[in-house]
Amino acid sequence: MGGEVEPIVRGDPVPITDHISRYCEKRYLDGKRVTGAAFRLRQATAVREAETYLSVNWLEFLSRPSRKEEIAEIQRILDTKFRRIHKRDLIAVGNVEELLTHVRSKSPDRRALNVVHWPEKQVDESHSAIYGLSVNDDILYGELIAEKFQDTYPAQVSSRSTQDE
Amino acid sequence: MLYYEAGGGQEAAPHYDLEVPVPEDEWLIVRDYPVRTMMTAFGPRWKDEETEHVDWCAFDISPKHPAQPSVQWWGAGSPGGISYHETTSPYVLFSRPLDQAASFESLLTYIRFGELCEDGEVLGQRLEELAEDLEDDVDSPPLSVDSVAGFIEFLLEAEPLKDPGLVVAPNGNLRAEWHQSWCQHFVVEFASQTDAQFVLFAPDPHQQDKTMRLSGTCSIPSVYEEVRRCGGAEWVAR
Repeated sequence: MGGEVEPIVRGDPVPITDHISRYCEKRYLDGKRVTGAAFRLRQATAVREAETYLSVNWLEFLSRPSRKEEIAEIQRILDTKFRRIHKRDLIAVGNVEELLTHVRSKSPDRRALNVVHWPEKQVDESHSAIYGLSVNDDILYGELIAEKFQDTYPAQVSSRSTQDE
Repeated sequence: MLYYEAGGGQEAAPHYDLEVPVPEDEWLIVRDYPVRTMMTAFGPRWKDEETEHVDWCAFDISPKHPAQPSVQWWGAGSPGGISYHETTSPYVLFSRPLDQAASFESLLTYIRFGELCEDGEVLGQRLEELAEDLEDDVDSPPLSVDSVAGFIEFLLEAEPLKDPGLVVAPNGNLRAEWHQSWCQHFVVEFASQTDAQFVLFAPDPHQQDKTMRLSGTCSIPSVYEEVRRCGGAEWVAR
């Protein structure tokens, strides 16, 4: 039916064989290594509420033929969503199963994370969320997650990176 | 003969033995050149017998700056207790624990020139970059100055360390990271000038093929003790 708006379906689990990416600002990077600081929830401030999940993107949802093209699409999405992407900011990629297994097996409370599809209609359809963390968590959880997100790519769109060099 | 600078000129000064004890865990910054407070760092002082008022000066003992005049700073205090913060000295001066009102710029000076790290200029630049990055981001809290003071306290407490990577947590706290691999990995997040959270990944001493993953919240002096206890000093210390 023309003009009918499809409801947004949120909360479907991202398949464990698939991959997710996280936008990592340079303040969270030690050189090109993504640190645990990139995987901490942000506390409430005067202008926003505390985060309840980590924002990621579901790469296979994009239906691109290669990782390179998936990353190009993520770069384009980030460019529309954020005011400023610095040339040293990175996109970090991890596998869902490796992430969940690692955190569950290495955390003292055998923490079970959930990675679910959390689309932002029209803006960011591949947007997904890592649930199971709290702003008051020990910093260990960020480190455990960071261990599995060390496959990195520039966050800035390629043409712009070249211009900035 | 030793000289001190005052009012733009140089005046000859008599020599006295130091009578006011200077605790070894106090330190100061001499212009841009910090020195640990040691007995040898303090030269002559001048005591007014009537008012019991004491002036003193400190030497620049930094080997990095041999060209600097020997006497760089002077201040005032009273016998039995030096009240550092009453000084009218144009130079930056701290006692430990660090003054709560210590500015980011003065802490940055200490990082740059305090000989606490291998390359203070590089760490100083990184700190400046982090502070500027957060200043530009209205959605994030600024870099916590108290946390930077905690970092300095940690460097003063520990043995000489390799330079860490510096990043900032989303809450504005500074984090120092020593990373060789994911089984030789040490992170300290400075919650304040006195407290920190840490994470240490290190080979299990009883099963070297396994990695211990430790974390905790404790006082800053206790953090490095924990690292040493777990063998982390091997890759963290210089």
